[in-house]
Amino acid sequence: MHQATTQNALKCRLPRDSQCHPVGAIEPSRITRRALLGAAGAFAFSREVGAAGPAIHTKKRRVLRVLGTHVSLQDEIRRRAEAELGVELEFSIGGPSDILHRASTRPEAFDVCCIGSYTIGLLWQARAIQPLSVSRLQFWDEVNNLTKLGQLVPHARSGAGSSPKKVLYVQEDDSLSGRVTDRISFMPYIHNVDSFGYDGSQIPRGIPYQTESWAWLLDEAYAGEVAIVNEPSIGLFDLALAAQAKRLIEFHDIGNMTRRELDDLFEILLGYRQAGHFRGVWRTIPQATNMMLRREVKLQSMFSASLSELRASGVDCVYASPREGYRAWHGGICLSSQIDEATRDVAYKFMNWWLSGWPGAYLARQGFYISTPQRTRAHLTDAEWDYWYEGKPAATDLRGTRGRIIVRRGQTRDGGSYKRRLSNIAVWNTVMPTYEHSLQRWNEFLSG
Amino acid sequence: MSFCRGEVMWTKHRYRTLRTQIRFGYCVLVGLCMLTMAIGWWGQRQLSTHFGGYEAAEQTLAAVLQIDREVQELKSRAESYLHTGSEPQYRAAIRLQKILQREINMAQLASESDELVRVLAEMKTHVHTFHRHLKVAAGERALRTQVTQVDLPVKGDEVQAAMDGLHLALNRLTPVPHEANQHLFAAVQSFAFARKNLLQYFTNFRIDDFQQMIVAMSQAEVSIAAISESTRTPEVDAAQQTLLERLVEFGHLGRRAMQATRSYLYLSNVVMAGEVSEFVFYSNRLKAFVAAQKQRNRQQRQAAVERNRNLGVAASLLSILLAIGLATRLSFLIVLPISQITETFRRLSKGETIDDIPQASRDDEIGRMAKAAMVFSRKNDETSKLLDHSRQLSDQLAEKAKALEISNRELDNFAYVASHDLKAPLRGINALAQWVQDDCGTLLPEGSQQHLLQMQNRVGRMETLLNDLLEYSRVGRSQHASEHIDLAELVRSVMEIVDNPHDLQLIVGDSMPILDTDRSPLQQVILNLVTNAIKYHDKENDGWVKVTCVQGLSDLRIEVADNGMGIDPKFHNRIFQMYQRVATDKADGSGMGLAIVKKQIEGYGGTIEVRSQPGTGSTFAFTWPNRRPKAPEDLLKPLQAVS
Repeated sequence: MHQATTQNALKCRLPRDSQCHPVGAIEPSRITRRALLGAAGAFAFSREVGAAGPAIHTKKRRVLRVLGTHVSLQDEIRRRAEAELGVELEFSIGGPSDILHRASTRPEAFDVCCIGSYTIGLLWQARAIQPLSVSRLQFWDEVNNLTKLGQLVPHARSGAGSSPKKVLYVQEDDSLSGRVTDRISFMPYIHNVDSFGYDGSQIPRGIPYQTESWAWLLDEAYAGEVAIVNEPSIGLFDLALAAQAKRLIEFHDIGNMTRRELDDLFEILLGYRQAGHFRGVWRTIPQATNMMLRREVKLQSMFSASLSELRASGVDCVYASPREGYRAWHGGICLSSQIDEATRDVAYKFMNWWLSGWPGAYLARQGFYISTPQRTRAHLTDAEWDYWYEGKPAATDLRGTRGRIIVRRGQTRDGGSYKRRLSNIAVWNTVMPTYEHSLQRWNEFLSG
Repeated sequence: MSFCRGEVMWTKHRYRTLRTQIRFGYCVLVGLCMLTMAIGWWGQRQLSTHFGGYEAAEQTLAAVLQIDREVQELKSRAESYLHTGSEPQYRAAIRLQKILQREINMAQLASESDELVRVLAEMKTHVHTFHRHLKVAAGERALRTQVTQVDLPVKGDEVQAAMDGLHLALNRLTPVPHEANQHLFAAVQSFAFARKNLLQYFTNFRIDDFQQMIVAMSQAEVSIAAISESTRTPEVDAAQQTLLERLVEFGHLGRRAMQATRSYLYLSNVVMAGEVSEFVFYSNRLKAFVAAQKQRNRQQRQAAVERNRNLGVAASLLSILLAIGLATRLSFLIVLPISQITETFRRLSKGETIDDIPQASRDDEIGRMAKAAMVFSRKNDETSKLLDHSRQLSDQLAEKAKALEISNRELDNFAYVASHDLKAPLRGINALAQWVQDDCGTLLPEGSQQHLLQMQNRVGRMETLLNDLLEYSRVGRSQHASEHIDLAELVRSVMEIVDNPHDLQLIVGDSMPILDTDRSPLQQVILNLVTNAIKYHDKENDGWVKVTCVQGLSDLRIEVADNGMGIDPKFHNRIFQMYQRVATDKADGSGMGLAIVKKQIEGYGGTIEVRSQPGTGSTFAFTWPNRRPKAPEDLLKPLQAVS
């Protein structure tokens, strides 16, 4: 799951009518529209029962409190969902750690939580969420095998770390595992694979899956021009993959590093840091985008949103397809353990809506995948489908969700098709058991 | 139109005047001086600006370093607070954050560089984010502290009390349910293990401890739940329920404390450290930027110094060249023409006539001087012509003078010859008359004798006339050697030889000079004048004749005065003519004395005049050169040289 937060995401935690856009643009307030809808409803109601008397009674729409990151909780999505579901959505947006903290400590403060699958175990352990019944998930059968089986296709690299499958199913003893049951801890939806982006005008293009490597992040040729995402559960794996690809270290299980391995890794990283190899770290999409826009870095940990922004700004940014595989993440929607029965129905409607097609198509235009791709296909043009999912050259210029052309005709998505990309997973974003230790060493790395 | 043309011409004329050009040159030089000053001032200003920029960069660097130190201190205090929970550290961190915001704002205001302002804005953002997360972390830490130090012990005690309550409830049963007690004991052990692991987690931050706490808590709950299966009494059920609730609450608190711990660890070690890391990056960048700016300022300052020096040298050289050019031009315009004009005037002063006057075509002062020289040239031309004419006249005069001299000489020769040659027959006649008288004096009638006497007298008189004529003709003919003459001695010698029948008082004036001249002519002049004064004196006893002399610059003014009868002024010119006698009754004479004197004096370039009135005596004053005058040929030489 994307861990980066935006400044606006932090600023706009709860105001229900000033949701934050992923890139910070505040959309027009919904109050007027909602008021108009309310007024219209009231008008219709009054015509129907007008003879009964002057009193006007309106059915109050149910409110669903949604906690999550800016990746999926976008204003356009909220408007669409509200219009289609007839509910009022109250988005609470924050960074992944913030969301995790709030969800785990105050389950009564939200109804559903959109969060990375690698934190599900913590929420489950904290008894902040409750199982979902697959029978109530309308499109469960259409959910692909990535989460159900842990592999999109047979023989695909399933990746180390917190694979979503490992925490998907709720067992009889209320533990979570990959063994299939009819109860799941979260509804899988948005997901993607990440790597690093590099400026194609300054670094010779590599061959995807062959010469492109995480080792580039530690290549001395780019000293001082490398940036890493400031999130140990993400950036740490970027660096670990780089160090391992450069044969500086070998992990027994890169998704579950021991304290010793962490110490060894950070010793290596500290040397690079002190040698001035890293330009710095970033926490938000705009920060990452600006670093490359200002030519402060040549390559860096990157999310697809930055890629779109940079390409729209004219930067020849290449999203690497490392031969070692991608770092993958998967988002899930889970139910608060404290949700009431009536709201739970709305929550299921909301989750079903997510897999119904349009949201997946909307997110596809931002480079994300959805767990029900075939249902999404109906909401994409052939050119969009071919580019985003099939990895084929774009037949036409493709526009992003903000209306700007982000893909030029003839361009091919870096890394190829959905199948190919998701079949090359090196590691999943993970909160390892050594998380606390990694935090302390991360601080040393940053201060180095 | 004509006015315009006239104005243009006037302007042109004014522009061409020497004064205008000198003023123009002066203005140009003043302008150059001002230009040099302006360049100097501009250079100083540039240097001042660069110094200002350098100083500003120094100040910015100092401010950045100060900000950098304070950020490090902020991070240190924040971490110290998060590790120790020290409130003073937290307050210091908050205070530092405010100070940093203020200092960054001030640095932004003081900065003129967009890049600097942008970087400072980034730094401010990171400080602000740091501050925001510090507050959140502080809240989490406070929550953790509250949970771990207050809530958890309380809840633990409550669990313990609930366990005691369940234990009592079980022990009140008869028989005592050992199995239930064993479950309770297992629960107590699990809970104790869970507490221990929870505390270990807070100390070591190992998730294994927390996981074991979770497992142990679950085991405790399972153990307690197992009690109710074997022993079901209301009291036990209530105690069991209470214990389960307390265990759940404890577990919840433990998880909450764990989340709070993770949260502040995350905020401190990741978010805040990341912000500080970025801040340090921008701080270093700022320092590098300022250092580069300083270097750039230094280079610009050096370049400005060199540029100013070059400009100064160039301006000075330009000034010098222009000054030389102006001086040369003015020299060409003034000095050289003036030299030419001076030379022209010098030549003109020599009387030359110059047809081609230099610089005459100019319209300025030099031109006017040249035109004046042309006037002089024309005058010289005229003078030359006059001189030619004069020379011609002079030549004619000289010829005439020469002819006159020849004539005079011939006349003198004639007079001399006549007087000399006539004297012999006259002397013969006189001798014959004497012989006749001696031989026939008594024989001749008385009348004849009388006639014979008259003839002898007339012959004697004729001889006197001839002697005087001879004397007159001799004047200027004789060559005399110049002598060193004491005038007093000469006058006294004259007075000694003159016939003074009435014993007139002869007086010699004082301060008689000594001079170089011909003795005889001067002596003759003084002798004739003194002799005349005595001869024509009408007083016997109280008569006097006085000779005085006054020294002039180039000549002497000698006066011979008497207190005799005087001469009527109407005769003053006549007395200097030959054979003219005024007092015929008084004395004998040929009337040639004063004519000889006049001729003698004028022969030496002097003049003679008479001041006299009848009855008051006479004064004859004449001038005599101090030195012997040049010959008449010599006097003509200068005139001939001019021509």
